[in-house]
Amino acid sequence: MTETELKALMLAGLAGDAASHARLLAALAPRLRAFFARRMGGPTAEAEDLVQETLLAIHLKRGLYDGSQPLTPWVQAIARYKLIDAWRRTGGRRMDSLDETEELPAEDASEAAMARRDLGVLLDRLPKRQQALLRDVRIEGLSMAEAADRHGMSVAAVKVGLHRSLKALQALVGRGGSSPDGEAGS
Amino acid sequence: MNTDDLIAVLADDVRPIRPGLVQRRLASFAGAGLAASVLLLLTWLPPRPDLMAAMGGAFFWEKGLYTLSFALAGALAVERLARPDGRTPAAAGRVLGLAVALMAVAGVTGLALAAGPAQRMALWLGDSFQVCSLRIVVLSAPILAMTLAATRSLAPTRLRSAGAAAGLLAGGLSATVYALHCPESTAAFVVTWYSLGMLACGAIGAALGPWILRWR
Repeated sequence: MTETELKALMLAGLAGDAASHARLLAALAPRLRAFFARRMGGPTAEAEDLVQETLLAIHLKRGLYDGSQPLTPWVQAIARYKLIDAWRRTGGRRMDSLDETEELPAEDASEAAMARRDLGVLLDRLPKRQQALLRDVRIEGLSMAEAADRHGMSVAAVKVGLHRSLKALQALVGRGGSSPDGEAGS
Repeated sequence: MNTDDLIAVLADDVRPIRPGLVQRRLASFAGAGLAASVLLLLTWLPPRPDLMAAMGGAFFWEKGLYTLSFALAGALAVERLARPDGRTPAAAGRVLGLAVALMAVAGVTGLALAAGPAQRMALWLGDSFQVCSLRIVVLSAPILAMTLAATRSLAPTRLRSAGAAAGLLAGGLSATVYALHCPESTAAFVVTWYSLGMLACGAIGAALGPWILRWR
């Protein structure tokens, strides 16, 4: 997909078109995967974490995209920031483990990385109400209106709740949400 | 969560985005900080006794324009630097350069016209050069806290520059607040001690940026 097409999807998403937004994120995901794999010694679980963190940031910060500017540098700036932030957070330890993972066969590492991204583990760490909303809407596939009925909330409140849980999810992913102690080093 | 699931979750969260988010966030936060800074001044220092008379003269407004141009330069810069791909805009440097150049010319002219060395020193140091810059920094504290908070809530990636811009914005506003108290009215004084205070605010912002502006 070209810059022009990506930018058109972004602008449509900003105007409220969810399908365009989904297509944009789906188109960016493999690019981000390549970006992080190249810089982290292969498609590791850490690299996939950063792909997800970056997608979340693109989503949550999309109001900061200025339509008069090209989109690709905007996305790259976020990806680069996330990479540097991850290095800072983990100090030297991550660099050591990079050397080891570089020797792993790429495809196995990728599958292992995907398998480790367990939705349940992350969800368990969200507040109960946010968990329920995400499960109902995302996993059971209820519509916003059905979820609103089930929880006795307005549709608007469900949307706000989902938005909050996404932010909370971002915080968890940001802290290295799949590690048991919640801190991926300091 | 695998990445495709994440994308599906995110696609459920799409609402139209109102344009102007950056400007609104910065303006509301800086406005709240400015109000706090005015309150701080009112509880700390009296307004200049000749405030009403001073407002009838030109230099009161020139001084205000000078300090506000620092705030404008900071605002122009932080509006860009609060975005991931933002760079310091040339316009910010031009505003700052023009303001300093004009005030410096006025200051040097004033000093050149002075009757002798003693009067020259009086024009330059005024009655309050020891406290002016520091008071501007103190008054900037609530504004700086708010401009940094606003910037952090957005998505800066050049944290030092973004911090400097947030600091310059805060310093320009706090110097404008301080001018309600400070009766100094020579260009030589303002271009030295006011500028020093405002630039110190920028330096503090630059020093804090890499620590405070990191966002997830």
